[in-house]
Amino acid sequence: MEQNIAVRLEHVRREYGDVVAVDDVSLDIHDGEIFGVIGPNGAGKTTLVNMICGMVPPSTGTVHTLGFDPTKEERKLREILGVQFQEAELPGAITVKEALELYSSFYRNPRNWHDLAEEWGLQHKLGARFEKLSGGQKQRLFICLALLNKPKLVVLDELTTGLDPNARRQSWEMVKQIRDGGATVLLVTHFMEEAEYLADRIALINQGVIEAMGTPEELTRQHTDRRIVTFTSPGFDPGALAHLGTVSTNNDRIAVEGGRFLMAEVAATLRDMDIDPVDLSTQHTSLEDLFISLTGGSTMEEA
Amino acid sequence: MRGFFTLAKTEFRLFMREPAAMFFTLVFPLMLLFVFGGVFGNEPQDWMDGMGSVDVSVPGYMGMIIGTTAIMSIPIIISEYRHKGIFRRLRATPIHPLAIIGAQTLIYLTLTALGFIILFIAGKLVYDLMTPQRPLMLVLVLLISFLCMASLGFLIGAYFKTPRTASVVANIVYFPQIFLAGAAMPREIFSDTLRKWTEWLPMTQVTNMIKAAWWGESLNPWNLVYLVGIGAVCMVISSRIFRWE
Repeated sequence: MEQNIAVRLEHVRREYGDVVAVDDVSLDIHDGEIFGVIGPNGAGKTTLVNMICGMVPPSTGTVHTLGFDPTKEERKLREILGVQFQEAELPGAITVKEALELYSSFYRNPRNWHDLAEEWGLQHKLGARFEKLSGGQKQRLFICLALLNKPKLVVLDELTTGLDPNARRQSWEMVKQIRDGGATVLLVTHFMEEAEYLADRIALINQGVIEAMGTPEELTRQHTDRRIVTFTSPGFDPGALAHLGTVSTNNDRIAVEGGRFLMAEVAATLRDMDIDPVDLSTQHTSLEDLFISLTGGSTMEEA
Repeated sequence: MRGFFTLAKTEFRLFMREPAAMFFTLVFPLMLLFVFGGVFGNEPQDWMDGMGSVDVSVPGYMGMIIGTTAIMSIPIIISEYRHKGIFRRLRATPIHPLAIIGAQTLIYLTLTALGFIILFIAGKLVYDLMTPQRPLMLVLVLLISFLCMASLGFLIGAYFKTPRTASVVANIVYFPQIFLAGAAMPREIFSDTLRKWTEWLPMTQVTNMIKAAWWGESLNPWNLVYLVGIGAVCMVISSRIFRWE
C-alpha cells in the first residue's frame, strides 16, 4: 500500500438483509487531506464510516484504513484512529475531566489531556457534567476525545448537525486546525456548504452509490455546465422547447434545463416563434444545486 | 487491562450519582431491616428453630440486593448505553469489548457486595444477627447467584431495544420475584399451592441457597443446577443477540 493513502476502499458493498446500504464504492483518501463525504440522510454515509473504522465488515470488497484491515486489526487501528460519531453520547453524569481521563486510559501513549482541554477551550468546564454542556461544548469535548491518541486519521461524522450557525462556523475552524496539525480528516456531512468550504476533495454519495467525486473545483467544472433558462410567457406550449432540454412549467413561468449555449438556442427558437419575453434569463448550477439534483428525491423526503 | 480499571472506577462514580439506583441497592435493604427488626425484634423463637425474625429475614434481603443490581440495574444500563451510543463511542477505542462488559459486571458485583456488607454489619450491630454457619459456602453461593442473575439481566438488556421497554421488563421480572421468591418476605408463610408454584422462580433458588448456607443446612443440588442452567442459557442467548448499537 502506498504511503500517501490513508484510506482505500475497493468495490465495497454492504448489505443489511435485503437493503443495500453501500454499493460498489471505491475511493482513496490521501494523507493529510480533508476528505468530505456528503449525502442526504440514509445515503449510506454512516455505514461507510462504520466500515472504515472497523465497526462493521463489508459484505464484499476490501477496506484498508491506515494500512490495517479495520475488522481484523481493529484494536491496532483504533490506537491511531480518532472518531467523533453522530448520535454517540457520553453518560450524562460524567464530568469533562472524567471523560478525558477515562478515554486517555484506553491508549498506549495519549496526549496530555490538560493541554488538549485548554486548546479547545474546555479548561473551565472540567468539573461540569456532560449533560450540562451546550451543544458546541459537547462537540468540542468529542473532538478532544478524538484527538487524545494523536490520531493519524480523524473521522468527524455530522460534526455540526444541530449546532447554531455561529457554533458551526467555529467548528469549521476547528476542523482546519485538526488538518493543519497533520492528521487526515474524514468529514461526513449533509451540508454542501460545509463540504465545499472545508474539504480538499468531496465524494457525493446517494443511495449507497458515489455519484460524483473530486475537488470542489473539479465538481463545479464537471457538473455545473448545466444551464437553466427561465422566462414568462402565458399560454406557451412547453413542447416547443423539448428538443433543447428538460422543460418544466410553473403557472406561466417556463424553465428549461440543458447544456451549454442553452440561452442562445432558447432565444433563437423564441425569436422564430415571435415570442420576446422581457424576463428571459439564465443561471448556471452551483454545487448546492448539483447536490440537490443528484440527491433530490431523498432530500425532498427528508424535508 | 489498560483502561479497564479506569472504566470500572468511572462507572462506579457514575452509579453513585444515581440516587434511585443507589437507594435501592444500599439503603432500602437497611430500611427493611430496621422496620421489620423494629416491629418483630430478633428474639429466638422455638417455632423458627431458635432463630429470631431478623435471622430469618436477612438472607432473603441478600437475595433482594442481588435482584436489584442484576435484574434492575444491569438491563437498564445495557440498553441505555446501547441506545445513547455510549457503547459505540467506547468501541471506537482500543479497549477490548470484554473489558467493557467486564467493567460493568465488576462494578455491580462490587455494589452487591457493598450492599451485603452494610446490611450484615447493621444487622449484627443492632440485632445481633446470626453469623453465617458456612461462610465460605455463603460467599460462593452469593457469587454464583449474582453471576447467574446478572446474565438474566444482560439478556433483558440485550433483547429489549429501548431503555424504556428494558426497564419495564426488568420491573416485571424483578418485583414479583422479590415478593414470591422468599426475598422480601419468607415463602414459609405462603399456602402450599403458592409455595409450589413459586418453587421454579430463579430467585427462589437464590434465596434457598443463601438460607441453607447461612443456617448451616445442606444445599439442595437442584437449586444450584437449575440456577446455573438458567444463567448459562441466558449468557449463551445474550452473547448471540447482543449488539453494541
